[in-house]
Amino acid sequence: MIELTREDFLYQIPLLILAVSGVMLILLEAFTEGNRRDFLMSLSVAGCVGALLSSIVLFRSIGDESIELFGGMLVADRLAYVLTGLFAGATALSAMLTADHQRTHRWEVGELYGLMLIATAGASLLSMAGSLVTIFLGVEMMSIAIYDFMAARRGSRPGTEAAMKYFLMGAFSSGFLAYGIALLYGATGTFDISSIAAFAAENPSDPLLVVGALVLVVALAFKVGAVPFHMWAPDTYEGAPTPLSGFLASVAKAAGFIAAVRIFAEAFGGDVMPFGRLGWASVFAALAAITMTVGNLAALRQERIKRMLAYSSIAHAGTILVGLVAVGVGAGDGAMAAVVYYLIAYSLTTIGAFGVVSWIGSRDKERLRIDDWSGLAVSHPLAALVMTVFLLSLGGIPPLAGFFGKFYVFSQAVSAYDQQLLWLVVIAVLNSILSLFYYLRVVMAMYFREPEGAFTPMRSPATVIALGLCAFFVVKMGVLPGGWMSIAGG
Amino acid sequence: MIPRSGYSAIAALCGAVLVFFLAPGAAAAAESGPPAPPPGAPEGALGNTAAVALLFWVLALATVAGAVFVITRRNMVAGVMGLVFTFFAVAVLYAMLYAHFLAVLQVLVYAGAIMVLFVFVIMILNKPEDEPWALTGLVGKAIAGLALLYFLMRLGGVLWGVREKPAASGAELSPGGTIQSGDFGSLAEVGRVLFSDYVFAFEAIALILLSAVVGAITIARPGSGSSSQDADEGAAVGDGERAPDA
Repeated sequence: MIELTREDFLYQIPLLILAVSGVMLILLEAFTEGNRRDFLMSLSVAGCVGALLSSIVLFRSIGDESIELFGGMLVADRLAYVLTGLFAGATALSAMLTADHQRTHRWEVGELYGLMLIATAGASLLSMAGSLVTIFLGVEMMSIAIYDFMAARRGSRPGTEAAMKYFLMGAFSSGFLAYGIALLYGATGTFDISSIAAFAAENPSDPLLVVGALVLVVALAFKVGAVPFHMWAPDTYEGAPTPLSGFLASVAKAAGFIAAVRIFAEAFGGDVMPFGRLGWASVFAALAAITMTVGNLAALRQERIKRMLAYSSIAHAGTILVGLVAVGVGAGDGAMAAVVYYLIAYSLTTIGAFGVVSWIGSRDKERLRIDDWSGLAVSHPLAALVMTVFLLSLGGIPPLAGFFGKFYVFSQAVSAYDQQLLWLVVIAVLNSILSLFYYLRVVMAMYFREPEGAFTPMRSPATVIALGLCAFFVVKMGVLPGGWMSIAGG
Repeated sequence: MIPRSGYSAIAALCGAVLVFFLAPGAAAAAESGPPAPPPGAPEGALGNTAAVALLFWVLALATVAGAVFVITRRNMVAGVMGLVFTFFAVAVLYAMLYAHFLAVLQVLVYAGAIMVLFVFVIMILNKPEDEPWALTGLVGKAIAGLALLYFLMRLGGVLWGVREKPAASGAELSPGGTIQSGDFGSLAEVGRVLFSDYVFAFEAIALILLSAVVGAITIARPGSGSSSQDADEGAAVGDGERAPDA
C-alpha cells in the first residue's frame, strides 16, 4: 500500500496541466459553436505555456535530486522536466501552425487541440517514467491520441492513408512493447525500473531479461522510426497534415528516445547485457549505422519535400542513436546531455522546417515538390531565409543548433569507451556530409532558380510567430550553446 | 501487404517463441511441483503435478494453435472463431494461475463483447472472401527467412538457459510470488491493488480511453471537416509520382 503525499501531486504539475487542459479543451469544443479554431488553439497554447513554465520552476527547484512519485510509478528529476518543457513548447508551436493549416485547407476539427495536449501528456509521462507500466501507458496515451488527430483531415486521401499506416504499425509495435514488458516481468518479478536495474546488476545474462530487452528494442525502434522498422515513416510524414508531421517528428520521436533512455540507460545501466562487447549498446550501434545510412541515401532521391524531411528525420534518429550508444557504453551524464541537447535542437528545427512547408502551401496548391520552391528567395525572401536556417541546422552547419547537437554527440561518442566507437562516428560524419546534398538542393532551388509564379502564402500572426520563435531558438542554441548544454545536464 | 508465407512465418515464430518460453517452466513445474501456491489456496485442488503439467501443456498448445489458425484462415469468420478459441484457452490459463477474476473478465470482455464486435464488423464490411495476396521478391523472402532462422537460433539458445532458473532463484517464479495474500486473484484483492499501488495507472488509463473514444467519434462522425475540393486536392497529392523507397 502506498501513501500519497502532497509531493506526489506537486512534482507532476506539468503533466497534470497538460492532461487537464486537454480534457477541458475536448469538453469546451463540444459546447462552443461556430468558428472556434483560433479560440481553441490559443487555449491549447496557453495550456502548453503553463506546462512549460511549471516545468521550468520545478526544474530549478528540484536540483540534482531524483524523487519517486506514486510509489515509484513516476520519477521526477531534471531530465524529466527538460523533456516535458520541450514537449510542451513543441506542442504549442505545432498547434499555432496547425490552426493556419486548418484555415488554409479548410478542415475544421476542433478536437484536435485537446487530443494534441493528451498526446503531449503521454509524452511527458514517458519522460517521467519510473516503471514499465508507466512506459506502456505513456506510449499508448501518446500513440492513440496521435492516431486520432492524424486521421482528422478527412477529405484528404493521403492523410487517411498516413493515419492508417501509423495506426497499424503503432499497434504492431505496441504488441512488441507489451511482450517485452511481460518477459522482463517474468524475469524479475517487478515493473519498477530501479528494481529491474538491481536485478540486472546481479543476473546480467538472465536469458529472459535479454530476450525481453531485445523485444523492447524492436518496439522502441518502431516508435522512433529506426531502420529497419521505419517503413511507416515516409508515407505517414508525407500524408499527414504538414504541421502534424512536424509534431510527429519532434514530440513523438523525442518521446520514443526518452523511453529508450529510461529503460536502457537506467534499468540496464552498466555493461551488463551479454550482447557482444558493448552490452545492450551493440544493438543500438548496429541500428544507428543502418538508420543513418539508409535514411540519408533514401532522402537523396526524393523529389517531394515532406518525404525528404521524413527520410531526414529517420537519418537524424540514427544520429541520436549514436548518442544513446555513447550513453550505453558508460559515457555518463555528458553523453546524456548531448542526447537531450540534440533532441531539443532537432525538435525545434524540424517543427520550423515543416512549418515553412505548411506556410508556403496555399488553398489550391500545397507546394510539396522541391521544384515548387524555385525562386522563393525573390518572392518571399524572409521565408526563404528562415527555411535556409532550418535546413542548414538540419545539415549541421556551424553557427546553428544542429551543428552543436552533432558536435556534442560525436565528441561524446569518440571519447567514450577507449575510442572504440570511432567507426560509428566516422559513419555518422560521412552521413552528415551526405545529408548536406539534399538540404542544399532546396536552398539552391530557393536562391538560384527563377520563381515560377506568384502566390499568396498564409499571413496569419500565429504562423509567423511560431516560425520566428523556432528560427530564433535555432540560432540562439547555435550561437550560445553553453547555457542550453547546462540545461540539458552537461 | 504481407504475403501469405509471411503470415505462416510469423505464426511459426510466435509458436516457437511460446514453446521455448513455456517449455522450461512446465518442465520445472513437473519436477518441483507447482511453485508455491498462495497460502490460502485450497490444498489438493491442483495438487497433482503431472495433471497440472499436462493441463498446462494442452492449454498452451491450444492457445498457440488457435492463434495460428486465426492468421492462416482466409475466411474471416473462421479466423474469428479461432480467436474465440484462443481467448477461452487463455482464460483457463489465467484460472490455473489463481487469477479467477481475470479469467472471468477474459471470458466476459474478450470472448464476449469484443468477439461480438468483430463479428459485427465483418458483417458490416461484407468483404469478399478471397483476395489476391501480394507477392514480394524472392530475395526479400530469402533475407527474411535467413533473419528468422538466425533469430530463432539465438532465441532458442538464449531461452534454453531458462531451465537453470528455478534452481537458482527458488520461488521467485511462482505466480503472484510478490503478493503473499491468501485471496490473490480475487475481486477484492484486484480492486485493492488497482486502487492503491496502481492508482496512477488507473487514472492514466482513463485518459487513454477518453482519447480513444473522442478519436473514434471524430473520425466516424459524418460530414465534418472536409469539402469536395479538399478531396480533389488530396487525391492530387496522393496520385503524383513517388520516388522509390530505399
